[in-house]
Amino acid sequence: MTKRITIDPITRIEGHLRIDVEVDNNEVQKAWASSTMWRGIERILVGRDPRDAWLFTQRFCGVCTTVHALTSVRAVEDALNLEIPLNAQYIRNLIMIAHALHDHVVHFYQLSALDWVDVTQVLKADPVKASQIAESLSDWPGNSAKEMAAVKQKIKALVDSGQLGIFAHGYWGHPAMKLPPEINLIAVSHYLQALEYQRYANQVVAMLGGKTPHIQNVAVGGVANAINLDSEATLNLDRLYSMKALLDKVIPFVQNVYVPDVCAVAGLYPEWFGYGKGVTNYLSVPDLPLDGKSTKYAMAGGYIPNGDLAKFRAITGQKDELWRKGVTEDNTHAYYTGSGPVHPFEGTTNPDFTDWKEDGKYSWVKAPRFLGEPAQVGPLANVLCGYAAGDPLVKKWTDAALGKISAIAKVQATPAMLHSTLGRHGARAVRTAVLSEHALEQWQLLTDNILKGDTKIYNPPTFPKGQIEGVGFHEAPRGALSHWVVVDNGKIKNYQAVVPTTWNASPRDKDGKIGPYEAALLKNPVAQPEHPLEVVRTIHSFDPCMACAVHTFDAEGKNLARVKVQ
Amino acid sequence: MRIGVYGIGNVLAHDDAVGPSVVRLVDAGWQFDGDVTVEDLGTPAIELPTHLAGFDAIVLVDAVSATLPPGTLRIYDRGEILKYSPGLRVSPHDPALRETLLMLDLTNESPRIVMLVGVVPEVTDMGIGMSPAVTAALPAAAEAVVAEVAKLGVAARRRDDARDADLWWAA
Repeated sequence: MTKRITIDPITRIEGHLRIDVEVDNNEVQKAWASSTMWRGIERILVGRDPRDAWLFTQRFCGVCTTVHALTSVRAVEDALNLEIPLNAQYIRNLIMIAHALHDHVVHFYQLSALDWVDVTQVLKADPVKASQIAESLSDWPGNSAKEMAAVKQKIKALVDSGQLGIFAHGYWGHPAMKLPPEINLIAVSHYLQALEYQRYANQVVAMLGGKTPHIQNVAVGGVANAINLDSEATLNLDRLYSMKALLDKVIPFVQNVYVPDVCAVAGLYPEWFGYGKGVTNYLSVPDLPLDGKSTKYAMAGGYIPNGDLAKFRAITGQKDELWRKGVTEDNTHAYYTGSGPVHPFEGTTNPDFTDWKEDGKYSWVKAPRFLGEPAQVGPLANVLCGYAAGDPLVKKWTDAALGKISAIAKVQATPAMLHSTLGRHGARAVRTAVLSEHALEQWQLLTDNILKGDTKIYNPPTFPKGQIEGVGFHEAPRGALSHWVVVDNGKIKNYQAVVPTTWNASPRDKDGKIGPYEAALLKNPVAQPEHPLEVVRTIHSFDPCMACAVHTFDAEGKNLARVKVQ
Repeated sequence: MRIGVYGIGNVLAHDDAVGPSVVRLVDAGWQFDGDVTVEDLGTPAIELPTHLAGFDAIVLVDAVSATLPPGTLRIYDRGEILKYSPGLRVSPHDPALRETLLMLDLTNESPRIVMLVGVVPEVTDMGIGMSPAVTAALPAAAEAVVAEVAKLGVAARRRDDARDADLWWAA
């Protein structure tokens, strides 16, 4: 008897995302988002030293690491009302920006572009024509006819070999794939270039953080990057300029390749501005603090109810009561004890597994709510809040992107169209461009501050007797992330992480209100239930942090396809 | 020859800590004569390409699911790792080892030699501490990693200043 052995490195992601959709008339009628894996990670932290929490939290999850380290120290510092040195703030900001630049570029090219781009169509493309189109979109030097021809040749060699490699299983030839061959070629050639450029952003994180993916340089009270302009071993001018050189490579890629590519894809799939709207309450938190007490921020955050930008309410900081009291979590449909809304400081994570029940508990993800309502988080929320707050950089890049899309789609693109599957991709590109400008600004702030003679990096924390509580937030690549910590006599008493994907992948709450994924899937087309590309497009537009298993049922509930990710 | 020795896994998921633990044992106990980077990569996900691109050889340690008793060691080479093609592209995340190697093939940056020292886990849900079977397998796994590096022509010596591996999460 042959024994089958599967080489399958254990998946190390936060949990598996399962999507159930009911399809009728080639359209999604009902949707459920659930996570099939328990994450009781917060309980690991109870009783530990709050100064060590960040080491653990950045090991929470296999997708977002750095963000949990930074948010954790912010939470403990907030509890202590601990001011941190300016250098520490700027260094953390640079890490966050570089991390996000890396993350967003990879998300578009490596993780989601192939939902829209048909690699096999590259063989039909005319490299000269592709080069002309690409050069009309931007002045990026990597768009020559020679470059395009080389990429076409590379893909042809793959196809001829019968081994498509990384492209072995895609939705090739799917009726929902509609790009002209030349656009497919441009996108595939930039997919390859992105593999190189994303790495430069990653190297900036490593230079400041000591290593990636798990940075080593943060501490409650500041950072551990010794600064001495006269020492080789510390952060000095040489290192600052090597970092700048890396940023100078990444930034043009973001502005002249990523942004135009997203606009081109969006402009050629204009119907996808009509799908995936979902929950239009948007929540975003301010980020890139500019002072040691975190009272001023370079990027705005806030709350927009019902997609109405005129009703935008700013969140001014971690101490803002609107934010601090506005967040609750509901376990009615999640596999935990409890039901209605509970504030994270009082939150519990005690499992109560019941199997998947359509009208009962069906997910390991809790249902976070803001002012009692489901809210969408992520780059779209971030960009809309920045736009509503009048942030000039956000406005500049949003208007530029809408202009490009209008020119390609030959329709007038408006901010209202952003409430959609493509809007989330567009907003992510806009946010990345905005961040690319902040990168240079934060670099300059750090360099100027050091040249002024300030080398301070750390203020030691002291923990009082008795109980204190704090919240740290961060506008992470996938949206508003917050850590809520209760410290008692210097030890962690409670710790709750409300992560972006729980906002977006939220199940129903006690009132039956559905979450952003669930809402965004309604009325999505599904041309071939056994190849639910359109469902995948909408879910991927949120950039989920979980592996996603999609089940498609027809109206009789027959399981047509099960696509399970290892 | 540039060699990367990497441990992969979530240290907070019981036996999935085996990869990070083994490379920390290797780093604490041995030194190599060549250009060898020894690192606990934890859960690199989309950052894995950065750590593989441009290296000539990689020795990875990871938990592998196989129908073998917990604590069993098995070594896989590049061909065996790539034997099964990636699944239908539904998950955008966790591009694992196989996907990363295939992606780097496209830019001709994939390491020529890739060896995976796999350890079969018993428990991999969230929580700290490895099972007795996997804990017992740690020294042999570390020896296996050193042996794989030696096969690449790089001598390994026991450190004179050998120290305890820093398994801070288990402290």
